[in-house]
Amino acid sequence: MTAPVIRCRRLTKRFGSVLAVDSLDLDVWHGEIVAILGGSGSGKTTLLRLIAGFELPSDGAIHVEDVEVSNPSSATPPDLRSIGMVVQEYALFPHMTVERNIAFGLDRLPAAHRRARVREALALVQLQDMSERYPYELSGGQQQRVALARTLAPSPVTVLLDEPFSNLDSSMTRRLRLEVERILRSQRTAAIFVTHDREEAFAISDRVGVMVDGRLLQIDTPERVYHFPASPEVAAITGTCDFIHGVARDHGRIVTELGMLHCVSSVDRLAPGQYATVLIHPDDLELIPDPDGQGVVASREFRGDDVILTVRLDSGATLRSRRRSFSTLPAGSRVRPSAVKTMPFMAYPADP
Amino acid sequence: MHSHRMHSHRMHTIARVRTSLAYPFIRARPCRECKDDRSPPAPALLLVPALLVGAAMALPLVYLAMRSVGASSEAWELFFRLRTAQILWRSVQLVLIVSFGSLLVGVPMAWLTTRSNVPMRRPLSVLGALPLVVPTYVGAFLAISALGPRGLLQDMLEPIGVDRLPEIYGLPGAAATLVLLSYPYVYLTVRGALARMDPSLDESARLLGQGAVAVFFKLTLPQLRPAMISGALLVTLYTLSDFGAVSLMRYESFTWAIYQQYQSAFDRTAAAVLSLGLVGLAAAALLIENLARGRSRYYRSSSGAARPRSPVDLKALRWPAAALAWLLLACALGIPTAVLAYWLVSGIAAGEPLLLLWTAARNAVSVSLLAALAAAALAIPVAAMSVRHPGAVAAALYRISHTGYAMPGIVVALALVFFGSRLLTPAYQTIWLLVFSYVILFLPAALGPARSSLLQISPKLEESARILGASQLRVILSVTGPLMRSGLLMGGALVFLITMKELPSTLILGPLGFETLATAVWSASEEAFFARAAAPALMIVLVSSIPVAVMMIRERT
Amino acid sequence: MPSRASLMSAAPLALILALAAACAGVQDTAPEPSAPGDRGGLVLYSGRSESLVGPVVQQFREASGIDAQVKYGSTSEIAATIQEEGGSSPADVFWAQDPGALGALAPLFAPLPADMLEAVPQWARHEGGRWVGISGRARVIVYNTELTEDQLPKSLQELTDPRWKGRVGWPPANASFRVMVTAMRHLWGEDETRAWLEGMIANDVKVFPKNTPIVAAAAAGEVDVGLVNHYYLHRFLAERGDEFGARNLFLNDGGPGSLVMVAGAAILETGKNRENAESFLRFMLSRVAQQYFAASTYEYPLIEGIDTHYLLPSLDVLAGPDIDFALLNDLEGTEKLLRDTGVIP
Repeated sequence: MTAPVIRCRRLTKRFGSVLAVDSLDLDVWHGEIVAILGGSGSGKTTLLRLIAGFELPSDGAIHVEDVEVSNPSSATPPDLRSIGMVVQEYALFPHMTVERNIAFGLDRLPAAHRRARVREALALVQLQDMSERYPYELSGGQQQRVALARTLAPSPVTVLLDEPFSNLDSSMTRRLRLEVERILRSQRTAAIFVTHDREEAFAISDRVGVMVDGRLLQIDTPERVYHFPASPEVAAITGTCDFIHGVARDHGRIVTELGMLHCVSSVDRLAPGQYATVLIHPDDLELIPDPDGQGVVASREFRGDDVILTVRLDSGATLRSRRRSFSTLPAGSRVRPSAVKTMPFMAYPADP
Repeated sequence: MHSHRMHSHRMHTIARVRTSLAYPFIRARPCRECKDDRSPPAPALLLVPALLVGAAMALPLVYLAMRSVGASSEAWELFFRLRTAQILWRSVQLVLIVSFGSLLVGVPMAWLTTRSNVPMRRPLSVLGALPLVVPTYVGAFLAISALGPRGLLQDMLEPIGVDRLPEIYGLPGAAATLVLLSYPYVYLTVRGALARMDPSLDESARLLGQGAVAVFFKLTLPQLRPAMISGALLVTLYTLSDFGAVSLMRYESFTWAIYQQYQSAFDRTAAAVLSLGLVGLAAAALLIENLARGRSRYYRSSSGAARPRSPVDLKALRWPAAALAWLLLACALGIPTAVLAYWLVSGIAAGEPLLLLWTAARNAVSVSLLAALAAAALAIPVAAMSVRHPGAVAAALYRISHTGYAMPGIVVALALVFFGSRLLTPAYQTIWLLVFSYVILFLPAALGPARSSLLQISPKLEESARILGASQLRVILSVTGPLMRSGLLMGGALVFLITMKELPSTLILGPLGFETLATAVWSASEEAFFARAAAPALMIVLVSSIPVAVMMIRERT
Repeated sequence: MPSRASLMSAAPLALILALAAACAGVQDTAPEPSAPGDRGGLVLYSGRSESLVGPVVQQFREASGIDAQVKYGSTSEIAATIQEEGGSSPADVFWAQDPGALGALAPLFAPLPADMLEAVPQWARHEGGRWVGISGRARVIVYNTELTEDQLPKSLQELTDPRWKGRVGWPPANASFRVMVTAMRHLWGEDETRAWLEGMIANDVKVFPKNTPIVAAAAAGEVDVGLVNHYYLHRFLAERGDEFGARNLFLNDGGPGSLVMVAGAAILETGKNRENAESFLRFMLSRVAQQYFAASTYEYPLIEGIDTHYLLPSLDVLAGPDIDFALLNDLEGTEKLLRDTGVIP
């Protein structure tokens, strides 16, 4: 199939003077899982509600499999869009059993067919024994799986998930999100899920879109939005990051306090002599104990799996370095920092 | 990656998208100008019925406006005189006292009968709601007969030298009567809210070391605020429109002044002008309600499925609490029924036949049931607009739905006489127009509970249903409706109870020869045939207790 | 498989719906006329309650074969209803408790035949021939029986005396009371009436909404005397027996306090059953009906040759005031006076 499952063009939504979604373009393809990553108030939930049809765009249009479903003057109602949605609170119907919840979207099927599909959906989420339970008799994780089964049962072309894991404790989150990924992949259903948690976004999505103030700043594979964020703003959202100033030379080389770094840039090419700022992730910064080094360990944060050391350079800049958990460098010790990466660093034009 | 996919009826669903007509949202303005689209537009399925209800509710206002436009300058002079302001102030005083009094009585009564282990909780629960069915003109008359300066009580005390009891007329008598007969509005709405409240909140508060009393004041009471407000609003509007108690207790309220115009001056325009003043008072009450309500909104997705809770142990206070509750019931229900029974028995002893008015009872039950069903159904769109699509339209609808309730029954009835005899001739003087008038009068009683139950249903549930492919109608029928059931049932029951005793509209708009229990009571008591009035009055209480009992028993399941 | 819970919830709803469906068919209107000799219908709007006039209306149905359908209500409500219905009123006959309502609606009535009007005394009919009195009632002072003969008031004027402070009840909203004040204005003059009203208020007169509670209050001794119509007392006596603690005082002084007035009826111009309406009025002025009023409602019959109830002084004995009854239609002037004096707001 050539058309994307979901296509948003110049999608805009205003609430009064606030631009919740700002001229946003987005294509989601069959079988693809797209995460929309953004802080609260970034407009990511509004985006989902626009796609679902609960909000009408102020401008722009939405197509589902090449059929226009929303424009500013008319909209296909949500029930006719073949889109599924799982909300943060799951919204299971409290007065219906698990079975009836799942059967809710299947009312157009003949009864026998419907029962078969409910069984399939229950099997998919491995809750075969729970069909007669009421939602309040389920744990949070079970509720979430029922919500997913209910959404998938009618075979929607796309599933929208709004912060699907935020109501669960962290140990369960990891297990469940892999489970959800497995289920989505097995159905080859396209999915868009919004989250404020980058780990969650990276873990199960094919592509991650980064949203700030209603704008989709970058959408790409998890690796690319992490390693090559389109702007310092994106970088701040996709990872723990520090910046170091430098001056460009030719061939993508930038001279910094940490020496000469090979960089690519968000703009086509940084002209030699142009000021720049280079993104340094904690993983990129090596520290070698050296009484004559140009940095000092300002603080250390032991986290179990690793330890984060904050280094203050003589210039006053601070950088963070992630070391293995048995690193014993104490706070106050002098170090020689060096930036090491198997691929180019990311650089952005900067003011002097 | 492409393992087994569930049966693909995907083509079917996509085809649905393709063939579906894009449907236009209803919006107030063409879109190019709309800078502000804060809340999603209300769907036509909701907006159209809501607007129709609003139009119906506006009929009395239209009528009053028409009458007032034709009013002479004299009528307006009458309105702007100082005495009008005085009477207005008297009404305000009465309303304030009765509303606070009803809260003071209704909230503890509701808590005792739902949350505590007070002895005989079931009978208390049922009886607690029943004073609502005693018409105020009966209640006040009976109160005077029993507790008046030379009433039955004084008669009993005569041997110990009590020659005369203190006067109960005026503000104290009117307020006491109205509190005793209208506190069930608060009682019933608060009970509903208590039943829906999440028990885990209470439990966690108790675990945090809070005593039962502290939990009530810190946790329960604040959560009950919307229910208390909507109950108090009903009491307020009911008090504003009451004529029975104020006239017999000789308290010159605003409604009393309006009746004066009809009764003795046969002056419809002056009455209409004064009624507009009453509408103004009602508007003020609604404004205050709005302020008091604040922006509180609580959704609870797990509504209706509350776990059974264990009652609060009152310990040593069990019996004193029960005694207080029974004392209240003795005043509100015991005295009236005792006096009625006394009249009935003394009447029979004097040779009066005991007339059981089965036709009147059947008529009363049938129109009351119809009114309850209609009001509960019509409350849905208005409540949904006000909760789900707040804005100028919803606010206007909500307010206009309350005006009928604040007006004396005669004003609403005459408005429908005016429109009905001209525009709805086939329905005029049939039970259908009569039921219509009940809806105009009593819709707020259904609206309050409907609204508070809707407030506790998360809109996400409806959205989830929508996106699972349910049409708006199906969402209402299979999700919103069932979840609102307890609220609708409560509202319907309230409307049923008030309709059972309604008088002016029943007399004026009822079919020719139509008799209900209330008209039978009126017909007899108007002419001082008290023994004859006693039987139908007792029947009102008995018949009305059936739905109340059913409701209370259902609550347990 | 529907769950138990949903069945539980559906049951009451189904019950209600079934009941409603069953009830919808219930008595929508009065039974269809089916008697042989069916002479068509009649729509009566009665400001007099069913407990008073129901039996005599039934007698009319049986005697005439006319299916009379009745809307009962208070006189003022019925009057307002007729006014609102205007030309589309289904009513044929309006039967009112008092002449005030009839006067207010007189333009809507059809002229009555002269012989019907002449059946009653001149004071008991509309000067323009638009309504006719059906029964008479007298203004009285109801008093508590603990008062001795010499303690009773001799006149209305006397009630402003400090001796009566806080001991008198009156119903200013009552239409008959208004007619009495109207008569007072003509007999005493505007100024004296005003002085009397003000004197009564200064004397702490107790305000009641209508007659019945005044009679009850007088019997209970809450007030010692009250200004009412005569027949309420007799209903109490019939129900409570002779130990009931109140009796009527007929002032019999030719003043406004001894006014005799009527409950009357009229035919609406817009009615569709003019002939039946006339039959109805004639029946109510017949010996049968007049006998009923005298015997059962303790009112005064208005045609010749019917005996007044033995408990009542006869009309001939009552020295009613000499007044042109046409003047009593000026309710507006009375209304204004009552308002100016603060009797009503």
